Amino acid sequence: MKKQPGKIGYNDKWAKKVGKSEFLKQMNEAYPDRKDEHAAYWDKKFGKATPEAAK
Amino acid sequence: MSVLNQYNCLTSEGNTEAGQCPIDIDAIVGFILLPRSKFFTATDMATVDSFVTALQAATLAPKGERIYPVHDIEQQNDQSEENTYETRALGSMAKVRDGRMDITYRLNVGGLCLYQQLAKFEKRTDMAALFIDDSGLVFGQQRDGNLYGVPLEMIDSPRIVYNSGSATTIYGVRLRYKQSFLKSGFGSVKLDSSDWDSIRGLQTLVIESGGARAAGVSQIKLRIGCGLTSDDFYNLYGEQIAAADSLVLAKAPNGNQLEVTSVAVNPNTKGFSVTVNTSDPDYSAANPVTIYFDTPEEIAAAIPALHVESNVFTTPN
Repeated sequence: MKKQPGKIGYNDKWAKKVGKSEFLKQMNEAYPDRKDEHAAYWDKKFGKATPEAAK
Repeated sequence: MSVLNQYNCLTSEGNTEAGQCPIDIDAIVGFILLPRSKFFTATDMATVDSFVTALQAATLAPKGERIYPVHDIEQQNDQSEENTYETRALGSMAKVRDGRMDITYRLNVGGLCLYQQLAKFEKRTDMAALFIDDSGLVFGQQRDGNLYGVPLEMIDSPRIVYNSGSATTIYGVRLRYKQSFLKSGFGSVKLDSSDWDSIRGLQTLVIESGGARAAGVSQIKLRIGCGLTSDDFYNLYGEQIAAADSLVLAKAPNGNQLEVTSVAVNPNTKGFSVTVNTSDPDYSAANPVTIYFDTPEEIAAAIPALHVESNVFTTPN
């Protein structure tokens, strides 16, 4: 039986540097079944309104 | 000032009243291997607490400055040389030289693991030792107000004596050094006897394959060499490792750093999934990725219970 997915420790420094699009692109490629989780993390960490603001 | 051909031995005298608090070396319960060039300053030794802090920090220092505490020495086999004397033709006797201290310390804990780790020092000729006695006295030699280790002429891992049926297996380490520091240049600091327990050496954090790399995701497992299995490590530290993802580092085959973009616990393998920046020009899906951890100091700062140094692991393609 497949177990519940475990915690992902995102590299915030890298995420902030590359921006939301690149962050989601790479995370969705790496963990395609957890797309909602990546997007929710970004919004919670960096805010919905600033998708590329940190770039 | 030095004067040519003048050797003043008439001042070689000592005051012989014993005093009320003489230093009296108790049974040796441990020692610290350290580079000969490593020393502790008067500031380090200003208080017991500052000395303990300096010793603890030195266990995490980069190689070359790091100290290696060895605990639980319970028995010693003293095969030191006697001093050498010459008996002359008419019966007078003169001392030729001091014998070497040469002691095999039995490792009470650590078994074959610690034995093998200490065997790695056999070829080192630049090491020294501080000794710790049962009362908490840390001693070596002092120079210019600093505390150094006693230079070791030999570090050897003697033959193991197997369990005899009535006695347990004997693992030991043999240290050979000059005794002169005991006569002149002796340096010591008295710790509280419990302080020694707080000065611990590193263990090896072993990174192993946790499966094939797929879609840029490397799979690793972690265990403590001679300690925790990968399952135990996962259960104890899994979440903390994922939370401290910046501890995990990666390199491309050309040696250039690759940014680790995430570290996730993987409940299916009881390991960890590691992703790197796949947009980095140094990254190629066709090439392996080398994964390792940050310095022991950084690991201990993030997860204080982890006193480890990692190996370097190259993932399969």
